[in-house]
Amino acid sequence: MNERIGRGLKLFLVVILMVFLTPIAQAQTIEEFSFEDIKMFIEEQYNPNVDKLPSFIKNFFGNERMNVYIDGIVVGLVSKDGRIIEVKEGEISNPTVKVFVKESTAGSIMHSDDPVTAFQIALKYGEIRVEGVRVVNWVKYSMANVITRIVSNIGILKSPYDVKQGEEKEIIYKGEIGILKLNSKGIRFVEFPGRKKVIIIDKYGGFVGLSSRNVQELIRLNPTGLTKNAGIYSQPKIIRTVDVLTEDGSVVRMEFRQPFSKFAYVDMIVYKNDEEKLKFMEYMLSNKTMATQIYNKDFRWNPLLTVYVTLIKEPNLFYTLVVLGDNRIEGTFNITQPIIQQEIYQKLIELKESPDAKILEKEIEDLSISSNTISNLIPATDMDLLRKDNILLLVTNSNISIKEVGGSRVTEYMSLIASTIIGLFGTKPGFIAGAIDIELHHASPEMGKYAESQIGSRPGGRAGTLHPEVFEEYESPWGPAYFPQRIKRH
Amino acid sequence: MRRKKIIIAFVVVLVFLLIMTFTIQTPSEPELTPNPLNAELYFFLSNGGLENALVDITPERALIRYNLPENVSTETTNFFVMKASARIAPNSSKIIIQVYENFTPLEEVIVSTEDVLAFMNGTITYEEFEKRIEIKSLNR
Repeated sequence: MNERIGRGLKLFLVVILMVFLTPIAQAQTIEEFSFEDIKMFIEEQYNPNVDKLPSFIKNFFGNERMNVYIDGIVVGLVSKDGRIIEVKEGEISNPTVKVFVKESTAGSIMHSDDPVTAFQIALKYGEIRVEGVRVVNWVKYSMANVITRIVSNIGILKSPYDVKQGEEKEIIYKGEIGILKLNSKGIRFVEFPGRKKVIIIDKYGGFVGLSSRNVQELIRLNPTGLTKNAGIYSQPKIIRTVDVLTEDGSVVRMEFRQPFSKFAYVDMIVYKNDEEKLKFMEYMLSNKTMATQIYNKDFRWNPLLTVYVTLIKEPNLFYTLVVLGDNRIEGTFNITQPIIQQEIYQKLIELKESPDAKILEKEIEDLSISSNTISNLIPATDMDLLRKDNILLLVTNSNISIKEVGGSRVTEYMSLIASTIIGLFGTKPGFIAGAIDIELHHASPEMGKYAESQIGSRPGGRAGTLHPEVFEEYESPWGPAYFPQRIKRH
Repeated sequence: MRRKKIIIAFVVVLVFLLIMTFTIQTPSEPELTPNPLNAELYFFLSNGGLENALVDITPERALIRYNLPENVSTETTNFFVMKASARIAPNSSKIIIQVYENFTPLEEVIVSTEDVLAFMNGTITYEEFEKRIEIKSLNR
């Protein structure tokens, strides 16, 4: 009889172990951290806030010897009255409990603004698995797991980020009041008063991506067939940040972002006092005493070549502003005349002889960024023509190699002007004109309907308007074309 | 006898745990990993003047839903969207563009990504390309 009961017990144990050993839910973010990070987190975050945990959780984990397995890391913990009194790298002897946590879940807890709440959320969603060692502890923690499931279902384990479909819940997110909602695909997003952008968050309140109110409305109108990722936009890759001293003496931080994986296109975002955040060209417009100096990694001053081109009223005239260190020249380019014959060209030649131009040339490598590209070209269509702020801005102190530019006639001319100027200062011209004879392809009967370029398909430039020292002529299948001299043709 | 009672009680607890484990499900939530191509196409469209487009890219299709900006034709905009989508997501089989005007559905345009790329590369003429574009009204 006893033997049969024993066999039955073993069977139950196997079944229950299988239940508890099912893989824990996949968490969202992959975070890498070390034992030192965990130790610091326990000392600075967990222990001071332990009283915020529900008492039943605190009682269960209150006096234990725990081995915590976080993917590749093992941490031994000893708790007393809820607080962790000993933290050890590797397993501790005679453990009473084993805790299994995915690295991403641990990361979500450790990097949360409210780790105690994040810990409860992880328990609620079954992302922390606890196994008691020896029979009594095993039963205790099996019961704890069941209790956790019950309390999760009846709402005792609450998450500030739980929201029902159609509900609008006011929350404090990163110190700001926001409205938490669930979209038709079950995705959480936070709206902030007066802002069009919304933030997509996960169940821990962690940042997932950006979206906008309009995009969310477009999802709401017809969610059928959309994936959960619809309308969620991750932040572009940040490739470099630099501090820039402006003429008014203030320091702004410029962030260079690369939103496209395939194109050499870089967006510049300006932060001032860590508050304002705007695109560099907006900053240029708003602040005429623009950034003129830049510091390299050793905080040595280097001049920054800034080229700013915009269309003015007359269709063939482009206002051009060039700032190099303390020098500033401005004028107009007429794209119907060769650059060499224009007044602004003479000014550029004088600028080229300035000490700042020599420094620029010497310091190029110091300031080159990983992709060797700093630019702000606007791939655009003729819709650009409808916009008043039609601007092309190129800032460079580095080699530029923009392989493709798709644009309207206006943006292509602006690119051409800017790249020609950059070419004069000894850096690679930025625009391997994705096209082309600009007039031809924008005026052709077929393409003229859309007034767009055939991106990258017909290289070259319009004869007569280009600087002969920067661009060289060659015979393309479509007639005479011009290439930046420093760029190899493929 | 006492030992037997303890074992029975223990088995009852185990049965209870087993039943509860099977009957009470832990709330679960699927993983959410943003598709980087969605963001790339969104930025591309934004930089071209088409802001706030809904982008949803899968291997089967690149779906772009947008509100038509003022003073711009659907034809011009759709052409821009097609080319942008083909460049950013050349491996999506087709491009579905859903045009809305003030959040009211207007039309749906479906085109094969391969055809857009062929037109962009000059392999097919505009006339040939136009014939391969499927347009249907979304007005009810």
